[in-house]
Amino acid sequence: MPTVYNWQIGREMSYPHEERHPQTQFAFVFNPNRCIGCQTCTMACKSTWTFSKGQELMWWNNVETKPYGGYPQHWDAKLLAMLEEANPSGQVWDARNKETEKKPYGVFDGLTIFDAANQKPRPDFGAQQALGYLPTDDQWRAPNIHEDTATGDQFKTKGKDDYGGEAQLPEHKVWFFHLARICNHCTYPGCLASCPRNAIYKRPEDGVVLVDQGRCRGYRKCVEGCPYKKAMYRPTTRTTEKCIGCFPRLEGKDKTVSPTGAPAETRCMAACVGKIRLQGLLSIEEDGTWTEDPQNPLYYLIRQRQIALPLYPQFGTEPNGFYIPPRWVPRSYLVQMFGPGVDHAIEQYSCPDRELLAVLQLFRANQQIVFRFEIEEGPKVGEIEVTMPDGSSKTQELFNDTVLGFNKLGEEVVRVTVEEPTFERPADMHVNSI
Amino acid sequence: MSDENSHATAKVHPATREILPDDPMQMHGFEVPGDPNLMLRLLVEEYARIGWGAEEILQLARDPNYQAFHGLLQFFGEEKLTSQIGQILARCGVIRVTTKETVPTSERLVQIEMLE
Repeated sequence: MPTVYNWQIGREMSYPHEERHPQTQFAFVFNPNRCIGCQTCTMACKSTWTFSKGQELMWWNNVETKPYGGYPQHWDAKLLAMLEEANPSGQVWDARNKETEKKPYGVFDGLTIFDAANQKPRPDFGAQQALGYLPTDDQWRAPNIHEDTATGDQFKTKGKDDYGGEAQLPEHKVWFFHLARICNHCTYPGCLASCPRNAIYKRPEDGVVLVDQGRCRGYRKCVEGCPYKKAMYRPTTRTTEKCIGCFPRLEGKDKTVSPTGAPAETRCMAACVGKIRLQGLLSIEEDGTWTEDPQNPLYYLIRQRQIALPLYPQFGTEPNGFYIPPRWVPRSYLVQMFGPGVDHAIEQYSCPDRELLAVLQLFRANQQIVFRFEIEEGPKVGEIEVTMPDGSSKTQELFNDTVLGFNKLGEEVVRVTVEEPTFERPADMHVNSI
Repeated sequence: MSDENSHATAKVHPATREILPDDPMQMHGFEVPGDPNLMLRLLVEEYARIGWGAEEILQLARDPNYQAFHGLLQFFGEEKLTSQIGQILARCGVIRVTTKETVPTSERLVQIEMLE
């Protein structure tokens, strides 16, 4: 099996195909810190791409509530357990061994899904290129069921809003968070590796992973091999379908959004009311390294500041979806989910400096993809007190800075200015103030 | 009632049906420690970063469809939660931004004339 380099795990790994890379790569940053789980993204995707017969249980975009939630149910816990079984106590990171470019999070010493399938084949699962499993119909059928009611029976107490009982789960201390997920359009996709028909490919122009419907025969090996379970079987066509990255919008063909033909964000990104999403196209070198481009907001957040981290990088597919870890969640859980970069990311995000704060304003600021940002600096407008990861407080300075976003053609599409903060004085404080 | 009906299985609504150990829809979980006070502080700061004031945050907490924050309201109670949100916002302030988007000038968008 050929070897490829995976910068997210800081080492080479086995992969069934030779290393080749697209010119640009579809990528995104989600911020679960502010996701309210409204599912607007889910419905934007559903109403655009998966509203037909046979697609009823298909949600290319879903938002699940962690720790209990998953679509399909338990997808991540199941695969983590399989990897642990394949390599008991060996799924560990060496976070001391870091290099900014080649191994920013250190080195993962355990087995990826490709290593595991290669080293420890499971006869009971048949031939596998990537360790995986096929979820049952029941696990696909009910996204979000019970996962939000883990803390009790509040729905029942509402009387008329009896949603049908609660989960029989321990009452944990409400630390859960909402995790929005789409296909990560991985650099080394598990679905692509698993397909016995070579029906799955990455587009050379933007790295979007697509299924050739003419070649697909519905063996569902991709469903088994995608660790994120984002390849889905459609019984009416007997083929697999998956997120297509809204490629007509990436190509700038939606003239109402991008009249000059500049690439636009996908439907799920554009619909986000919570402004948790930022999407981009990153320039990729022939050897797979990201072209240094610190004025690209995604490059800035992911590679330069390292506040956005890949989801389960240890699976080894080099996913191109990145997340700003939610700050209140127990650290061990976050490290398992996002790797050892969590501490640094949370530290940076908790008290952003003026440049980072300005770039964070670009989330969902415009429907066109921002390829470059500039910051026009303004005077200091205030100080606020923010909470650091250890619970201590720190003073953050605010500046009247303006961040400008430019599309692929160099046209300015948006400018966002940070204004003077406002303070609301509660009635029970400052009783003698005017 | 006929004999035939007396042998029929009583109908039980799925919501109230007993969950069996091999039920694929049953979830298994264990409690993971967390700090509701820290979660509240960080969530309020987060929403303050996108320009939400106390009333908007409270509205979110009151809505049972937004479970993360609604869970906090149930944990603290509305009175204490309101007071806590006020105190947090008094420290961290509400960050305001102004956004100016370039309006696309599409040639395809034309005014449809009123029908007579």
